[in-house]
Amino acid sequence: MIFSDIANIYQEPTYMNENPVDHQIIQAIKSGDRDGIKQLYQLYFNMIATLILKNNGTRLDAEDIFQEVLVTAITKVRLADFQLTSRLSSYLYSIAKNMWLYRLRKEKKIGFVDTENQENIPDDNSPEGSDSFEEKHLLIAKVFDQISEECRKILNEYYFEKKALKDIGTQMQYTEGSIRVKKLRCMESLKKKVEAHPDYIKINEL
Amino acid sequence: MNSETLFNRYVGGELSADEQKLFDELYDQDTLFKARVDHHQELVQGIQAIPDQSIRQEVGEVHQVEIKKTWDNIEFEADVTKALKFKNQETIRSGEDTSLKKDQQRVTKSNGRIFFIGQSKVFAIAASILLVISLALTYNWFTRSSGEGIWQEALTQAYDQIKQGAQTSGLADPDQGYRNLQKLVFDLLDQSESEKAMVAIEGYFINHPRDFTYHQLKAWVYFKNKKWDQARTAFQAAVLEGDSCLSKLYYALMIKNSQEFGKLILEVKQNASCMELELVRSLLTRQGL
Repeated sequence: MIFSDIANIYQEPTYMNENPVDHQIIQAIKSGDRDGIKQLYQLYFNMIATLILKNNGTRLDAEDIFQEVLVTAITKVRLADFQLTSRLSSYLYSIAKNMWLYRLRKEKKIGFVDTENQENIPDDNSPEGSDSFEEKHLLIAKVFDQISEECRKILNEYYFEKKALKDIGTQMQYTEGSIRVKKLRCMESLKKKVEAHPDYIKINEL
Repeated sequence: MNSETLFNRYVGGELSADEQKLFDELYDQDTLFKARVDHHQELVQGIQAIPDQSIRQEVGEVHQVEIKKTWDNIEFEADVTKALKFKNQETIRSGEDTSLKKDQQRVTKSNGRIFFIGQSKVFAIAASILLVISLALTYNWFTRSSGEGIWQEALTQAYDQIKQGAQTSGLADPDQGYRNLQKLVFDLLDQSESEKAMVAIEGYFINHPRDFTYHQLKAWVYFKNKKWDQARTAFQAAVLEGDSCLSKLYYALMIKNSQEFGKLILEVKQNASCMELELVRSLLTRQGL
């Protein structure tokens, strides 16, 4: 119950958010459908992990905090009078931030970098990015041409041009929630094609 | 107010500020009262924890299934970022992406001359045609030359010396990153892994400025594969990027029968810092220059 006091500081939302993706996830969570939690992992784990990793945390800390965030959020969502007032991402981020700040203070670690408005694009200094350029990168570059034009546009603008997902969505007439899901599907499609490529097996055997 | 009333008001959440003060005093002083309050708190927490535990279990189960996949996806994102950086740089270089190229006007200064690349489509086409013609003429001239074996021998000696230098460079080398790359490239070439050598070069220069060393290293890969035209072009690019010693000498040796040869050799010889390089001196001596 370390975080129980923190969980209580969140102001209860007062009106229903219009974002259809958020709405769909919340409905799934309310009804006990585990797909809702799965979607939270797919869409928001990276955001929370970035926050933790950039603030002296480890992968295990990121996993631990994310689970605590989910327990808190799901508990709230399942209350009869729950309504979301902000974007779901902001809601989850604020819980995570306060939980992590609480833990940092407890462990007397100083310094905090707010990453909420930063896109979680891996850069060269990313803890998840390796330093070396490898054959797999060439393969990804090659397979990239095989995915749909729309996916190429989304991924290129996000990962190469470092545009905000929100801006890409606006330009392509998608809501922020929809473009987030689109990007996720595009990455899945690219990953699937890369893993199905004959060179992929060869590279992994090396 | 007795302790029983105080406790009941506490349970009901009805303590006033004064009563809270009394409650705190009693809690600190009366061990029985403290034990009673603590027991009550444990009960309340236990009751509150029931839904929390079931949600915790639910999250834990999804976590077991999803977490590895999620980290894999994050790592894949990092790979995609790197791959797209490489792909887009390649696209700009090869001119496949005209919209990007239109915005790009690269100016390369060399020997007081300025080359405008990408000034206009017409200019680009005309320049390409001229380049193809001049390359064809140079190639023709070059293949007819009787000195082909001589420059190949000279460059092979240079290749071996540079390879040796790269493989024996110490850890104290201030440019260790590049030395490591050089060593890797020559090792790969020894194993006939030219493609991997190129990948290593491209990969390294994603995060480093593409100066003459980039072209020079690529030139050696082409040279090792007997792709003379590409090697010559790469050495020429290294000269244009500012290497007025070794690359200029290699390039000069590869166009030995052209009018430009004498001029380039003279430039190298008149450059005092070039002549301080042992490799330059030995190459010139061996060629009787």
